[in-house]
Amino acid sequence: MNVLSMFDLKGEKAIVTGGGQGLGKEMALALAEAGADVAVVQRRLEMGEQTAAEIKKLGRKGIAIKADVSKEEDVKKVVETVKREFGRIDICVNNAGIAGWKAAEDMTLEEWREMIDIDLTGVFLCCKWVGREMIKQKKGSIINISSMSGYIVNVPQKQCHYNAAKAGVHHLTKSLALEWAPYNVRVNAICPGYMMTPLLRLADKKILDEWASMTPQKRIADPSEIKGLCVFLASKASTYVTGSAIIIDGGYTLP
Amino acid sequence: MNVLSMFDLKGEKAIVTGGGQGLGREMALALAEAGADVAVVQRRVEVAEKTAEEIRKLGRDSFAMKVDVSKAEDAKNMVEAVKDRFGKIDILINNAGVDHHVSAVELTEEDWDRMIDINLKGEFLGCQMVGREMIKQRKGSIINIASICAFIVVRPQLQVHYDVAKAGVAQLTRCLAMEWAKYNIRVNAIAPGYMKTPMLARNLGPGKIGEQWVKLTPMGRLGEPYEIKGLALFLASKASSFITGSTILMDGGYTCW
Repeated sequence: MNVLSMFDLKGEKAIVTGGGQGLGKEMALALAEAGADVAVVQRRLEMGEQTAAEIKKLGRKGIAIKADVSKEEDVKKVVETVKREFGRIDICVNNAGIAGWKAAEDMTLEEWREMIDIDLTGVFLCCKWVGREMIKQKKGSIINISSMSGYIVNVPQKQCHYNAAKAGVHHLTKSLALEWAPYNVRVNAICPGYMMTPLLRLADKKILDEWASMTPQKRIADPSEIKGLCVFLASKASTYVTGSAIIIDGGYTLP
Repeated sequence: MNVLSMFDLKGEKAIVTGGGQGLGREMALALAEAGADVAVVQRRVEVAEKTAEEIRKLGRDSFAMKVDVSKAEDAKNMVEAVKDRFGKIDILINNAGVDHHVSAVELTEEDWDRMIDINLKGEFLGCQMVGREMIKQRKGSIINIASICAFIVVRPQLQVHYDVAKAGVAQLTRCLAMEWAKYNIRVNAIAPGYMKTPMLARNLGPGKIGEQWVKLTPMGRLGEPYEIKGLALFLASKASSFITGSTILMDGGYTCW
């Protein structure tokens, strides 16, 4: 089979959570450029609609759905809506997430819970409800957005809740990959390093420079650099890849 | 940038060691299908010549060369020949390798040296010789072929020397990625699980240990060699511009449990 045809997503139906901005938006566009129709899920509907409009300009079907991935009823509604509009779900990119900085000894239980609810439980809920459809279809590719923070501890900011959630996403990915391999449902994770997205707006220039200097490639990536990896994992180009967590960090985790 | 254009290798020049058969052949074809010219390197040049011919049929430039990757002189000559023919080297896939099953207590010094020379030193020499050119160019993508054996201990076969060499390849990849990031050179590795290649052929079939490998793989099957094509192209191309030092598992879920 010609290698370029393996990346073709024509006819495929995808969901991207947090697809209204940042990495989610890039990945939603990437899937559309490769041929897929995409449902963009976001808490703020107007942001999701902007991405959906760009997808429609590419000639694909794009819809925006307002949902909070940490609420099971919202996630169930997303799946029902996508099934109704698209007929099925081939690809799900669980990208929706928040960041936050707080020293562990000062962190409130509320702050801990909010992070775990969105960045870990939200991923689980989407995997569960989308997974049920993919199991029926005996086909599917799920991509969970973890982080290099699932492997190493970032500095100088303190974010133990974020790090723990991302480590959880990594192992959740492997667990589901194992459980669903018999159903032809692949589950993989992308672990980004520093990429210039709205989530990085917590940092001032001094910290951004510090992060870049700690990266062997000496830069913070453009969010578009995640597109190729997303299409690789979503497509037939990765049919023997499951349970893998792929680090995309300019070498940050090496030293 | 449109995502599909990130995979375009038009104008790129590549070397694939062990490119005459198995995974090497699939990866050489993948790079050619995406637009690259490819030098196919093999100890048995007649095997490499077949792949080079298939690549020429795709409209790309290709030639075969007899190289023993474990010899520094051969690696040097390989680089000279490719520079002569192609003018530059943008992509290197260090795929050439051997396998061998023997228990640790029975393993001879000769067995050990041979395995480390080909499967580890061979990848290092390729990286070093080609890396020197890529540093001058300030551009390059190197893909080393590691294995699940870099992370877990396979069974039921015994192959401590193979597993150690592959673990070495994973760390070699990380070290070189770190050293050469400043030269715009990326170094990554692919860690395949069990793939149906000529190297493994003798273990496949009724009553052979390959049946156990299948049972141990969550996907319930071994990989087809062509399934490595997409990952090789991804790592060789601009599509992976922020990825360096990564070893990517392609194993049907084998290492999950």
